[in-house]
Amino acid sequence: VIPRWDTWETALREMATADIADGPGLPVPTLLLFDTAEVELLVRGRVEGDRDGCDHLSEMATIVAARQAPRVVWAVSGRMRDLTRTRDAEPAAQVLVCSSVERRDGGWQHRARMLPWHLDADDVVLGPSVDIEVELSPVGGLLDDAVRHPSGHDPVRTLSVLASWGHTAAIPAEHQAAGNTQPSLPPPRSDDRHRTHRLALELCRRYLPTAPAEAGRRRPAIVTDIPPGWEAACPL
Amino acid sequence: MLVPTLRRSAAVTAPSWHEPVATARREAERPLSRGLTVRPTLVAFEGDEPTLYVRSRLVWDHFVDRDLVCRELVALPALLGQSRLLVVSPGRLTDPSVDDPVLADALADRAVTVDVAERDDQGGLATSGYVLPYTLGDDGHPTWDAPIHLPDGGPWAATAKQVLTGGCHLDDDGRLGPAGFAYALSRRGMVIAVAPDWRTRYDLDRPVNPRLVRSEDRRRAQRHSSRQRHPTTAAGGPT
Repeated sequence: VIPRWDTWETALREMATADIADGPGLPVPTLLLFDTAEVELLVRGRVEGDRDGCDHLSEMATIVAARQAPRVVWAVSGRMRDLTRTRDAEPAAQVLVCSSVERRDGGWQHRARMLPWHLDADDVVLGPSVDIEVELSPVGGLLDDAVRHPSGHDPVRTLSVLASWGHTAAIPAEHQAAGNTQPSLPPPRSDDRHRTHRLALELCRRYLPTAPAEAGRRRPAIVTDIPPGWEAACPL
Repeated sequence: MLVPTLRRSAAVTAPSWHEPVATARREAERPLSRGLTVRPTLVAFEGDEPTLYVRSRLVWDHFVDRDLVCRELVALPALLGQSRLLVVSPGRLTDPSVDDPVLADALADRAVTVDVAERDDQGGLATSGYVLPYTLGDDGHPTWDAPIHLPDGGPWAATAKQVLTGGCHLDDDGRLGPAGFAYALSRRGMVIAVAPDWRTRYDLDRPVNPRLVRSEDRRRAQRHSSRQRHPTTAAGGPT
């Protein structure tokens, strides 16, 4: 199923179900870049963990900063904790948090949707999704920064670096035929690796996307939800 | 199958000074229909034209410092000195015959309050307000009951009066300016928007003093002044 902008949640549900049932047992972080209504690029994250002081989510954000797509959806898995219990208690629920951003006339429109799931005797049960505050998304600020600030790197070379780090990229067939993005990635050069790693490290240090939820108050605020017809008073 | 609603609303209606009830209902329906809570929102008008929009970061519940919310919300209108304010705020309708405050809170009807405050040319103040009770349907959309008029103003009347009389003077030594205040507030997560025609008149396009910008936001501040990374697509690389 090729996800479209208006049906991305359906596609992400199918992907998450397949990941939980047949894959690693958790939804793989998935990044969808939309050029128009059609998906242009699909990036799935590598195995969670630290690589040269940088987590996998910050590495994925570099392709968002390189390819300044007008619409981006990013789904990451998370856990909900009961605040009244101790920190080592079992998580109350497993969730998939889908952050989306769309460029519009006056700025960017962020949304965050949360999708709970649990296993019922080896059957994956995905609950109905609800909107949550954008600040509660673990990658909301990271996505906001990456989408606002072009890194100036070549997207194809950034993608080749990410592929060498274990992320997988998929491109729909019609884009390959149109020559919109290159189907075969060139081997990454050392300066590409260096630049991509520098940007990922900078984003990682600033946003701490895999840190516990208390780190959220140290993240920069997300300027979003400006009502239509208005402008953000502060450009920062 | 659930499909996310990510499209812009078709009818964009600006806040109207002459229709406070309709404005407050529109403003409350946007978060309520998405399952979120209403946050205190202030719209300042110059004449009949809405010029400044401030929405608080904090959810208005029992745990927030309400004085802090008030101060953050009215800081910029107090500095810019608009003469007409409209404050939309979440509220509730309790039954006074119930003695227990916890029980009264549990039995209360959900509502939105809207406060209207105006300073005329002679310096006279006029405040009034409405309480707009609603019930949330199964689809999450609110159904509005008849508005209740408050001739003397709602819970924000005292604050609005203080702002309009110049009672909350901000100690600005010129370094900060309106743009600095907007940055300092928006970095706390507040939504501050300005009508496009009024950005220059309110001196909001002046760049923020970089010494006041915290390190997390420095990259955004330096976006226009310096190129931190050079494009790799150019033949020569960084120059």
